[in-house]
Amino acid sequence: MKSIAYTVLAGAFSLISAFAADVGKPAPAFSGKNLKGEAVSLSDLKGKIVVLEWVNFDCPFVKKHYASGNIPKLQQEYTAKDVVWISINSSAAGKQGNYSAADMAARAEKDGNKASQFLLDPQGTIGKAYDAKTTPHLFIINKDGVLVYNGAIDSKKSTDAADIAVADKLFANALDAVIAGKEVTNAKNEPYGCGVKY
Amino acid sequence: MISRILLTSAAVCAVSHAAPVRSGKAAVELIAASTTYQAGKPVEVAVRMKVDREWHTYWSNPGEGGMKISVKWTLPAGWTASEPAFPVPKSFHTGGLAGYGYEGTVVFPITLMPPAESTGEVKPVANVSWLTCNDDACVPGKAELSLSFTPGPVAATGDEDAVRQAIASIPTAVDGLTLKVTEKDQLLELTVDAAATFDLAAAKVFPETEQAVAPAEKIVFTKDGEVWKATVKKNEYASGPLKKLTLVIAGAGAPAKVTWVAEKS
Repeated sequence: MKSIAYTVLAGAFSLISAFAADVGKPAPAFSGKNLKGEAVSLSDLKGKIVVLEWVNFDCPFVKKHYASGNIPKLQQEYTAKDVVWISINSSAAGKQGNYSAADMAARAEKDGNKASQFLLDPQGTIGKAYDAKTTPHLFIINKDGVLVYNGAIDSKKSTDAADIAVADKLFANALDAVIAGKEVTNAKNEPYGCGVKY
Repeated sequence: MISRILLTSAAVCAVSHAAPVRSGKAAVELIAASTTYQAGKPVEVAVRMKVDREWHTYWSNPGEGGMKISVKWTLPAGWTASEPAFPVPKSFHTGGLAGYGYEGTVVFPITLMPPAESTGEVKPVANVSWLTCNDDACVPGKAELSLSFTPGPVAATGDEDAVRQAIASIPTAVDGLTLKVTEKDQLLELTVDAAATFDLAAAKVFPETEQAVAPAEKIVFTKDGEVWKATVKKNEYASGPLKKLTLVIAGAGAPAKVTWVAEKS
């Protein structure tokens, strides 16, 4: 009787923590499959700085950052600094941006995606655990597994690539601070983009 | 008979109206009240957008996600253009995100201002870009629109009523209508003081200021003595105490706008 109650309670607790993506708190645990079908878990990445990037290659805001090379360049720059960059697509079946693993791999290659991992999350499990709202929506998790950034890629809410050069680099500045062991300013801000098509 | 023929040929001669341009999930056109302008006097134009069924576009405060229309002008020397004005929106919930915007036809008035001296025949060009979304997808649109204007007294285009109606649909400040905002925890207490004839009971109220009110909040006012009160959740992205809030009030008379600005301490 007692052990059943304990299990139920433990289940309830993990459910609660799964829905809290608060800056300053432990980042919600997740596990997903990459495009090769291999399992990727956040728990395996302790000791690494992890970036989560919600992506939808057909969303005009994402296209702004990929066609310009902005996000691929950030992926390359920071994975070279030992950051684990995970691109995640949570588009539900039949909705914009949802692709099979093979098609997503082809599209990621074509659009220049240079992430360490690419997870398919068509059930929206990881998306909802983080309350990912838009594509793009960026999260940074520090080496201790604490969420230290939840917000926009930059400060210009537009689909115009010309705005990238003049925008405040909210995400990149935050990641630089995390890498340097400094405090992140503006750690939580409103992301812009298309809705994640759950 | 003859006058009708003359009228018809006059309508054909006036370069008042190009065909709408389709892009993405909408069609847009630039309309004007007159084919002419007078130096130093405002020229009223508008971007009329027809959004495909089952898609919507966005208000100046789009809510969560989304993006408002952008109009970038190439203007003749000395001319200026206002930002587009936004009619009263509707609320929608798309794929879990709360937004504000428009379905069907929406007309955004813009005021062009010629300089004090005539610049002859002119052709201002508007580069318009916008976003339409539904539950499944988001599709952008863009178009280059232009109209020609010649100096002279007002010459009707046939669109003057549409432009005038668009201007009338824009929320404006109302004498005697004031807003006060106080904060308590993560709640905003709104107090509207309105003329006795202003009935907010059935009004639809929208937050024009971005990142002030939590998305999806229904702003419902109830009478409290002489004033109207509402309590709403503050937006999680508001940084620090709220400094300004503009509300748009529809359905209580002509569309109204009221602004509160925090006192400087």
